[in-house]
Amino acid sequence: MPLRFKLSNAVISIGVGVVVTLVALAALGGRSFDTIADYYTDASYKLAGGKNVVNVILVDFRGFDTLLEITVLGIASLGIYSLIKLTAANGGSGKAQRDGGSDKHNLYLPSGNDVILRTISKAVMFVILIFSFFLLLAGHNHPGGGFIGALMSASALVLLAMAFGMKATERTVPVNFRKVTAVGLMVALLTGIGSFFFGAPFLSHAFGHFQLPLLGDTELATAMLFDFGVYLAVLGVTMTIIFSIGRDK
Amino acid sequence: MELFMAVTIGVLFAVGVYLMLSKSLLRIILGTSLLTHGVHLLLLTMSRLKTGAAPLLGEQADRYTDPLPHALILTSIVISFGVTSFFFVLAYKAYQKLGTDNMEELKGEDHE
Repeated sequence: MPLRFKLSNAVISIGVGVVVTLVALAALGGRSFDTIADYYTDASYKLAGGKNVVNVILVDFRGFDTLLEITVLGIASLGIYSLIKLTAANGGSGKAQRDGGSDKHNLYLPSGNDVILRTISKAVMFVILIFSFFLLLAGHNHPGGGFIGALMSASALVLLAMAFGMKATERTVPVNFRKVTAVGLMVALLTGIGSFFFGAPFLSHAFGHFQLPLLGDTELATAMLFDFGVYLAVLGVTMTIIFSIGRDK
Repeated sequence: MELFMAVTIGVLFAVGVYLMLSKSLLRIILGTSLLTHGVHLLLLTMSRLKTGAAPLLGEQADRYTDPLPHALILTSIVISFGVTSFFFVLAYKAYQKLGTDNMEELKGEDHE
């Protein structure tokens, strides 16, 4: 059945659009409370020792939010994995069964002879991975953080999968990414629980300056551990989603 | 600028709702993700559009933009990524199982 233009739907949607525009304009109009943004900008370095205010809000001031967010992501990735896997385990049904069976040849192998892509991706992959670790470590004071680092690492692995196929990627990186998600969630949760030992509320963070050999005066923060948990969880989620969708027939 | 943002939000919502009202599952999912982007812009606009440096204290600027909506929107983008990918797989599996993505045909048989 072709999907045609529906006048009644258009009227409804334009009505919604106009109402939301008016809501946005009304929200701009008056301000009942003082802004709390200045608090975050002022307290970011004093209370949390980080100069990247957005990252400090994510891992420190609103850490609980982030913890539950990566939990939601983990649940979504497991849902996708089980949707794909369970139907595959049942031997497939409906359309999958009819045209399945004979198309095993191009499942895991990349088609074509991509010499340029393969040669370049071998080198570029390490550059991307190292840059992703840099982003993860720099996140507290400079642009970066757990999320963007994890997405960057995932893009390196996806590049590998695109150039060499998924089988080769699985042999090179023999990691169960669902477990990576679980480990990441555990790291984030344990970082939160760790503050109990110091009599502080859940997910309180501390930071300090230390003299490390070679590195000199270095700032270490427990928020870094939490961000590392976020990194692992997001990496696991992204790779689980991409690999389970990509593997499906 | 505020007026421009408000109109953009309105257009995003209108297109999103129109897509959600259509009968194709794929369009409904695209509609929800467009609605999410509308909400992100709404969050950004509600906190007042300010000019200033990015909220990195190393910049040594006089004024910074509001960091709170950035953080909220980042959380929301990641969740919307997870939910959208889940929806897509759900629609894909429903299409595989039932051979259609039309909401009319997904209703099942009439009982009259």
